[in-house]
Amino acid sequence: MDPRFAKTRELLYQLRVADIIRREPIVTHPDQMMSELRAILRDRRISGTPVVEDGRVVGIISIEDLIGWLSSGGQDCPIREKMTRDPEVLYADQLLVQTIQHFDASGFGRFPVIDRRDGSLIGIMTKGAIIEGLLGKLEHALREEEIRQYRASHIFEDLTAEYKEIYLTYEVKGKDFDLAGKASTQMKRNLKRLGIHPDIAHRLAIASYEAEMNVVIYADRGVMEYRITPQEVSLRIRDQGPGIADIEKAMRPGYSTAADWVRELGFGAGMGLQNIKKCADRMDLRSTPGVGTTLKIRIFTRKANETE
Amino acid sequence: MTLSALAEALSAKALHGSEEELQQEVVTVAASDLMSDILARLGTPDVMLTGLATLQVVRTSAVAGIKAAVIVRGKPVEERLVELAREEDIVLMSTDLSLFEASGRLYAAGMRSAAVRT
Amino acid sequence: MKLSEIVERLGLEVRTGAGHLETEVTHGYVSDMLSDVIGNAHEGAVWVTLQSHQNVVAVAIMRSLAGIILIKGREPDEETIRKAEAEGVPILVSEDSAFAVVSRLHDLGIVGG
Repeated sequence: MDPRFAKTRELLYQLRVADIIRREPIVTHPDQMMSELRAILRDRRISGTPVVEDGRVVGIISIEDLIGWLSSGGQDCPIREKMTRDPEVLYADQLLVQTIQHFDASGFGRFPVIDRRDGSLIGIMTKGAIIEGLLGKLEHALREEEIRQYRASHIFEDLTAEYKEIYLTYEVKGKDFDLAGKASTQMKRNLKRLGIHPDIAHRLAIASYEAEMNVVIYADRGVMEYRITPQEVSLRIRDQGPGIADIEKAMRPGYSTAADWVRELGFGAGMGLQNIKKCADRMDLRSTPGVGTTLKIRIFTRKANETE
Repeated sequence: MTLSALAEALSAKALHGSEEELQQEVVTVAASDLMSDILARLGTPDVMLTGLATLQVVRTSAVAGIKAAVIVRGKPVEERLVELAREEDIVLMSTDLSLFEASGRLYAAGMRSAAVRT
Repeated sequence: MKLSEIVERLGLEVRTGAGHLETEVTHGYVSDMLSDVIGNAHEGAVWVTLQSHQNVVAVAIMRSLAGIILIKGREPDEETIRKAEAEGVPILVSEDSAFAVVSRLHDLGIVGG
């Protein structure tokens, strides 16, 4: 897929209505006259307004309604009589992709956007706002980081070989809480630059971070090896530590052998391995008490492509 | 609500966050002292409320894609935590409120819980 | 508000302390740090946490807490259940997140502190 289209698609899933709507829209009151509406639409160069009474959206009136009124004689009357009552609304926290379905399904050109909690009007959503919003965000996407990302993501395409993989290694120091998680946060940035699907990068980063924390908490040292191929991202993390005596028990939610000082630092609540399992497509945990532990996780990138 | 409105609702001090970043809209929130708890969610929350004040607060935010972390209970925040937030582009705030009170206020202001389980 | 009413309104599962649900509750506290709860929780508060190991019972007694709400469907350890039952500390389980539980408590007029 053309990377520009992929980006647009990604934005549709990332952006929420609140991110792009026109705020403080021009509104009318149901008691205002249609002749006033005509002047408002003409002077403000807009094609419709939400109709608000006592702070609540009671209707929507558009240029189509105005034309209908004019062609039936244009006898002045309150907006209340010509507006569409109880219009469909959007909520500020909805994803952009959901709203597009609304436009398609209803055929309407504009929707009032309201606060889910108190029903108050926040703004108005039009197709124009979507286009402007997307263009604005896409422009942002041309920043330096994105260019770097674009270059990196072409490594696999630009190099020809029968077998391609990128291999990155980090060393982890046990009991060092300040450095803990540094490898995983760096790795997340690397994956982003390599153009790995955000969902895959997210899952690997979380699994990696939990695994890294386990090394820091329990072991003396460890090595994290990441392998990225066009088909999958994987992590092997080997440590020299006490090992896990009962892996089945260790996998149980809430089970932990962490010391109190670890718990006071917000870890060791018996969730780490569960989180890793949830994020990985394959997980293989092997341990020899007194020697160390090796954890392998794999996440397949192909699956993410299939949904596109 | 915007992050600056959120700061106001919590009487929070912004320790790191540009004007522009504070204009970001946020909807979902997670409240916990356990970083694994926050990482266990299906949906990444926009904001984390936590009583933890270690570097892991910022690292967890970076790993999970959380926009802002609010440290509650008036825990003193070390300068290097603020520095890491700057490096990782995470908005960082601090408030004297308890985790319960901070959660209650954000709920009253319209914020909602992030999706909990897979 | 009585703890039993909170149990009913939030649809909590009662794991221990079924005979100790008539306590009046005005305050709530959310924390996963035991030392923080010992130091700062309001006496008689209902405590919302993901911590399920046996030390939570001792903390609840120390602070005279009305009960413990475990979030996200976390089940107490066997040892935790045994202790809590012996000491009459109610342990209640919710499927919701801490934030969602606080939201519901907030609606019932329970305050922080």
